[in-house]
Amino acid sequence: MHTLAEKIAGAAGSTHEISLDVKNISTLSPLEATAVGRELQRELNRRGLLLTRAFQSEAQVQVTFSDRDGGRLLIFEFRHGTEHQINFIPAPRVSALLNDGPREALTLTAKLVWEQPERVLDFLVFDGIPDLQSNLLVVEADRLAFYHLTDSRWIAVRAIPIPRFRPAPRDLRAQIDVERNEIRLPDAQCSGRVTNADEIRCRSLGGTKVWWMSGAYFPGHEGSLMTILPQKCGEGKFILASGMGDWTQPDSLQPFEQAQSDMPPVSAGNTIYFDGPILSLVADKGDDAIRVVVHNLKTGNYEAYIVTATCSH
Amino acid sequence: MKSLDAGAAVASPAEADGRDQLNALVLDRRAGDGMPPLIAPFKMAEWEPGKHATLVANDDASGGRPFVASVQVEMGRTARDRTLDLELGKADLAEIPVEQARQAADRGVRVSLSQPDELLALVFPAGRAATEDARVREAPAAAIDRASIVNFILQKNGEAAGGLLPQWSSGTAFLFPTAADPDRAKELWTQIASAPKLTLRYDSGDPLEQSVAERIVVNAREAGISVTAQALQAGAPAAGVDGLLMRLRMPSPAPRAALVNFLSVLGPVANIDASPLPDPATPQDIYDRERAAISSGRVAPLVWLPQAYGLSARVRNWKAPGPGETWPLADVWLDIPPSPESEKEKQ
Amino acid sequence: MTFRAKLFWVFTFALLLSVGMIAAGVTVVTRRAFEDLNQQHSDALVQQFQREFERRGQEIVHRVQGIADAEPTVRMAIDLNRPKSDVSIYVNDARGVSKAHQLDILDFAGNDGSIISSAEWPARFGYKLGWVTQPEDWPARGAFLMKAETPEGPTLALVSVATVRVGDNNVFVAGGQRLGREFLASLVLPQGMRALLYLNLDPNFQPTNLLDANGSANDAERFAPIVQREQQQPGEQTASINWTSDPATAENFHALPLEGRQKELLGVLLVGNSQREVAVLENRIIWLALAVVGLGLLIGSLLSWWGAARVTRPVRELAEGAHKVAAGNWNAHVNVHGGGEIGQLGRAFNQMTQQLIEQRERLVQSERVAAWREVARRLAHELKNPLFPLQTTVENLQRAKEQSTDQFEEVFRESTGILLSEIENMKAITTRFSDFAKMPQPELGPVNLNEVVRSAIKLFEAQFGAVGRPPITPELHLEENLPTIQADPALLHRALENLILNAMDAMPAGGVLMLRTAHANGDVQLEISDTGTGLTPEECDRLFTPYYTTKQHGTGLGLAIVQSVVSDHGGRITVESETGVGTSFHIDLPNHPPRREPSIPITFEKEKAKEGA
Repeated sequence: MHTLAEKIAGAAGSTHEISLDVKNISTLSPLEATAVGRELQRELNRRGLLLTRAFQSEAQVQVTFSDRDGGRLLIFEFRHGTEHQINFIPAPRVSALLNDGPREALTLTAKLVWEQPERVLDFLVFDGIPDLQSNLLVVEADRLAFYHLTDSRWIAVRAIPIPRFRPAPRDLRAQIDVERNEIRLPDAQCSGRVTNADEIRCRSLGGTKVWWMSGAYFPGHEGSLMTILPQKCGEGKFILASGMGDWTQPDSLQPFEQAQSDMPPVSAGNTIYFDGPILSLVADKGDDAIRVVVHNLKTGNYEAYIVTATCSH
Repeated sequence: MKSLDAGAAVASPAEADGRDQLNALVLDRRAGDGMPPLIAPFKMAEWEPGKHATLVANDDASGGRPFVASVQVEMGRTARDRTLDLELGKADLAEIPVEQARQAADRGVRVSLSQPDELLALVFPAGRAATEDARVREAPAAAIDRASIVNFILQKNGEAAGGLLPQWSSGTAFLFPTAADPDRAKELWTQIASAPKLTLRYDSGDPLEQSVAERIVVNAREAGISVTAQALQAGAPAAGVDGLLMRLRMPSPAPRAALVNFLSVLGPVANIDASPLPDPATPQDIYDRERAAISSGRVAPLVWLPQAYGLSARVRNWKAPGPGETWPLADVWLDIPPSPESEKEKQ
Repeated sequence: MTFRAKLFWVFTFALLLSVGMIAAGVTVVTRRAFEDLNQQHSDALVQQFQREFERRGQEIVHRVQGIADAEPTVRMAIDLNRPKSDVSIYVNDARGVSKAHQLDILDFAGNDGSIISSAEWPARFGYKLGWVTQPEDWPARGAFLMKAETPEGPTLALVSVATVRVGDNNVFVAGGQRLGREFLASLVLPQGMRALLYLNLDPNFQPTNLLDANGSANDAERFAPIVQREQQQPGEQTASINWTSDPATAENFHALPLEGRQKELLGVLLVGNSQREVAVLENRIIWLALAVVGLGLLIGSLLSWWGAARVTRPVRELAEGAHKVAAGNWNAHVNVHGGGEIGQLGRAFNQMTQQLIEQRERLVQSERVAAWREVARRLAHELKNPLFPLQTTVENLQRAKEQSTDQFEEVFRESTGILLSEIENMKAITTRFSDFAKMPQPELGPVNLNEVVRSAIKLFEAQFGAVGRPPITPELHLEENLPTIQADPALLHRALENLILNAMDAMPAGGVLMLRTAHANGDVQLEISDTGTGLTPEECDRLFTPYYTTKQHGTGLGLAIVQSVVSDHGGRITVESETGVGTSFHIDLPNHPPRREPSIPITFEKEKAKEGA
């Protein structure tokens, strides 16, 4: 990267304002290529070059990541007026392009907690004691179902209907907000301590609210469910993201780390795969467990998983 | 193939390539100094030149005995017959024309494609008065719609070629534009005082070349350029033709070696600089020589073709050989479903 | 030319005319029949072409629709209706489908007209068939002609379009068959006919675009005028091509324009009819007609000669008989037998001559009777005058005898003198009668009438200037070189004398006596004119009647004698007169007077007895 930046600076000469276009036609992933591009921008800035838009710049620089037999190739084209230079720089692996040290990584594990044929919108294993999670709340389309773990089996103890004056919306979702003691649905709301069935009161909202689900977003993962993990394995932010398929395809969960807010997240751990689409992905603050609801396409059941992310080091 | 003798004449480049492949499978090779020779993985059990060969696994092969016990090689079968053999389960492996690969795949044949390592190019031989004017060469080349050739004729199994080396080899192919510019073609052609009618020759035995030639005729016609396509017997001299299609197979993945090979072929035909490249050659050296050859207007790369192989359902661990590589038959095994007898034995 | 010759030529001409008219009529009718037949053949071939065209069109519509309805096409349309569909997988479909459905032309085109797959020009994928997206009810349009582009160049094809609609998008299936040699070869052509097809693919006439059942037509340049006329003004028309100078090699062509969807001229169907049969037949007819004419002439000549002879013989006899009658031989009799008009004519002729003879006899008889009566009257009149004084004288004598002898002597002397005078008068009268009766027959000889005239004038010269009478001036206008005539000079002289005397008597106050001779038409003409008192028309009519006179004196026989002389010479005498002006006598004398039949003798008993005495 230093070499490349030096060559670009050398080609620019007395020109201070240049436009930079980074193109990746190599096997670098888009994220990796973007990371390299941002690193290059920083290097050029350090060398006193101001990066502007193409129509504002005096010179245009096009950097292309390309693969060749036996390695990778960086090609940069410099255009200044009628001048057109092309230079080639053999390049090693992408990890060497970046100045960052080795990244932290997360290890994800998933544990199946509950499955049922009826649709599960959200669930909560509670009693506050991770190792003695003997109660289960399952939010279904029409009711809240409470279960108690007895002899390693969940036994139904209580069901609270969710009142509706109209049929449920097609895109029905739910989220248990432990902190606020409420269970939110697009057309209903249940209030009260979610861990106490006696306290919960559900009411119909009369209309439908627009539902906000994802707590994170980054380019290239439009359509994914994401949640920010509370884990701190380094300075960066960790995001858990599902795949980009639809509800007819198996899904996966992958952790990403975003070292800085202006940098795109990069893969930061293993990917766990499911036999169906992930319908719900929730991570409560202060809770290391991430709740994942999956619709198993093979069995047809709705599965509730607790996914935990641990730092690798 | 008529003979395994390296000195024997062969009927076509394809036959020569087939002979080389068989040689690599049955002939021992010398290794480096002080190293024991590399024992070939197969022995020739039957040999009927041009028709049939039977290879049997060599227990003493370097790197271990091949997984398959024997290989029956049938030669001289047409592409259609080869594809049918695959569909009917009469063959485990067959070379299939790249333009038929997708169709074969649609019919249930497993298709394995190599990296695109064969260049199909339009070459303007030197010494033709009609094509002395650079515009006469540049205009039809500018009119060619490579994307359509890749998408329709090659059924997306191939890449548009702007340079003499593929992107995966040189890494710089993207610097050579491939998009058609029919407006430029028309502009150039109208500048020519007495525009000639060009003849484009193609190998009469190559359906792909015929399809590409006919498409070039259509592209040129849309730009107002008169080109007619004519079939030429393979091996016939290129003298007396305005333009011809040539297929150049990379002998090596290394860009320098491939470029040197291409220039050695193109040089005498199109009077292109075929002087030796520095060894080792930098990417800049290779790019510059490529650029010089393209800029002469004597060669217009069209598309990069992969080699396509059809595999039966039971073939495992087949990887399409790259340039200069031989068929990895020694590493292939067959996933044969258990017979009822063997199942009973297990129980 | 004789009647027989005329009749011969009439027969011949009639035969020639009839045979010629028949031959011409047969030729014309035959030619027209052939033309009608050729036209029928042409019409039939055109209808056959149109039927075949229609049948093929329906077949093509059916096949194209079948392709459009087929599952692979529908799946293709469904697939292409998806976003980001891959049209390239269908690029080779058209060729196989076209072969399976026996179509030369087959294009699959997308909603915007882009060619998905083309059978006739596989390399044209991606390019647009703009015309296929035009708003058109393709099912209702059916099959139509169009100019199809192929790698070998444009060609003419019968094409149909079917549409596969999926959602808002269409897939167009345009398929058809070339119209060319194969199509022409499929037509069933009668003997002597052929069909050619001109593919109107260029603005100018291109010989290579003219096809027949074997491929490019020979001598295509000869068809350029027909095709160019069709290009300028499309419509059914006919034209003839003479391949050589031999009319048998000519061909009549019926041109039928073939129009495309927008009425543009895309082709011309030429249906050719060889004129060889017509020419051969016409030739045969002409030769046959000539043979018939020749034979007819021969037969006709013989027939006409024999027929003319048969027909003309009685006519000839009739002519001869008429000639005899004209010559005065009223005894002419024709031998005409048989029925028919000629027979009737002959019998009528004989009857006529018989009647003429009878009438002449009666006329002669009556004339004789009239003449005798006239003579008797005249005699009675003449004699009456002297007889009365005779009677009176005798009665005077008787009275004188009875009354006194003295007076008797005187009376006797006076009376005898009167008696003798009257007896002399009566003797003179009888002498004149006798002279008139004894008018001699002319004794013909060559006579120069001028000399007769001069001689007669000389005779009267003294009297013209006689003392005591007004002078009469003779004027002679005698033609020189007057031909001589056969005449009796004495009789002519006598006649001339009578005429001069009459003229002198008509000019008591003197005047001019003009005598003129001339000759014309073989006759010699004599004119005697005076400037006397002239005659009234009634007097002219009776002028030549014997004993008619306007004079106080005279017997009235002078002009009768003149007429008799003129008549005996075969001539004619006429008179012109005007009172107060004068009188002219015109005498025409032939060169040779005709032979006079002897007069019918008048048998009077008394005259015979008298002559005998």
